[in-house]
Amino acid sequence: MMSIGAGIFRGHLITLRRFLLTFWRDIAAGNALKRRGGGTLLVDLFARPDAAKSPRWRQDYKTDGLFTVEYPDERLPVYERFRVLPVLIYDTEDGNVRCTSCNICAKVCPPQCIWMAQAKSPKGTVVPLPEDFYIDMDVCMNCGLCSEYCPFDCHQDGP
Amino acid sequence: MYAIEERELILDLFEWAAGSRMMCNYFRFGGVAFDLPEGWIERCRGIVNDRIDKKIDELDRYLSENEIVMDRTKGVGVLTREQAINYSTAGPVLRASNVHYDIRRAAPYGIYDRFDFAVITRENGDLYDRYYVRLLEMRESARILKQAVRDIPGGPIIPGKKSYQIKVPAGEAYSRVENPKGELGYYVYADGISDGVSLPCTQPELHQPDCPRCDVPGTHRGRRRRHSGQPRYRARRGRSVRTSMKGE
Repeated sequence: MMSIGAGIFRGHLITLRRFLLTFWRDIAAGNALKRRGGGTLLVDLFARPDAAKSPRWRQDYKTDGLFTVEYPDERLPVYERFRVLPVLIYDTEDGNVRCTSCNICAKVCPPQCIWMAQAKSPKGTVVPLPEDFYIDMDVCMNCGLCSEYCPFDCHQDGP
Repeated sequence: MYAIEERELILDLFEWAAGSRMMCNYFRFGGVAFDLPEGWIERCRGIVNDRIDKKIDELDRYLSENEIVMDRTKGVGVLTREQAINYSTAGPVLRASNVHYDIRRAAPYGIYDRFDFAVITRENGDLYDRYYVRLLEMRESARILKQAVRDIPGGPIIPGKKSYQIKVPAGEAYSRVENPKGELGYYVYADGISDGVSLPCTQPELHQPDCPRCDVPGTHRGRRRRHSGQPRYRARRGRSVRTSMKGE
């Protein structure tokens, strides 16, 4: 029979171990006096404006101890496939869009939040360009299917 | 909680492979959307083989023997075997009440018939057992994952050509899987003319809110049982119930 309180004590030891590990990782890497995300000086307590430019933190399966990312100073890498809201791509030089208003994205969109109208020339014939193109970003759920199935790669949903 | 760290690593894997942490949208009919990125499988193997077991052990040491947790969960909210079946609970709640039922074992789908794992059951059906079943199931899941990352084959990720419009033949089908909260079933119906299908689903959460009513002190049935001369709880708990009733 275990004595009363031994389980609580063991739990506190785990908390203590993790608390110490948080400092030990910095000490082992020689960063004991440095501000996380700060500069390269020996005693460097203030953030540099350029320190946040590059993602420099990566949680790994070997990471032990603190997992917190001090966000403005440290950033996690953004993965190549990361998806956010899709946008319509246009050429920065001449302003042309790649979209031909084929409506595939509107058909494949699961919440049906894409709506477009085909452009007409002054004579009334159909032009393969979108007259209006809307993505309701309140409804969009960032699934990325529109950019996946677009035959002309005219959407982009990532960085 | 410390388990959030492991969740963070797992969600990172999802984000790396599929592009989103929660709504991965990675599966397609008959395959997956993208191939795995460079270095993904090594990191996944590292997490599964070198990390998860140690972290589950730590969680076990941290909570399972803790007297406060044991005092507040042992004997609380007991669902007997009959009650658990009658309230149509599913998943770990059902297995904590000593019902040996796991869809991965009862009706194997996917490749679960090739994995070697045990169905965890506990006898008492109280809150502590429901916690402990989940903890032991994490170990079983780690076992399954180890076999999966060991034997994962190479090959094409999706057969045939991608098509944005899939013709669904007319018919209906029902399929169910075991998800972390229990049984997740989908009934699919297609009329064969349009490309739409209807998807009524069965979710374990729909049934489970009903069952706490039966035995939690302070709720209707808990009070009635205590008054009818069946002391369900020890004196300490009974007093706390009475205090809360006086306040009403």
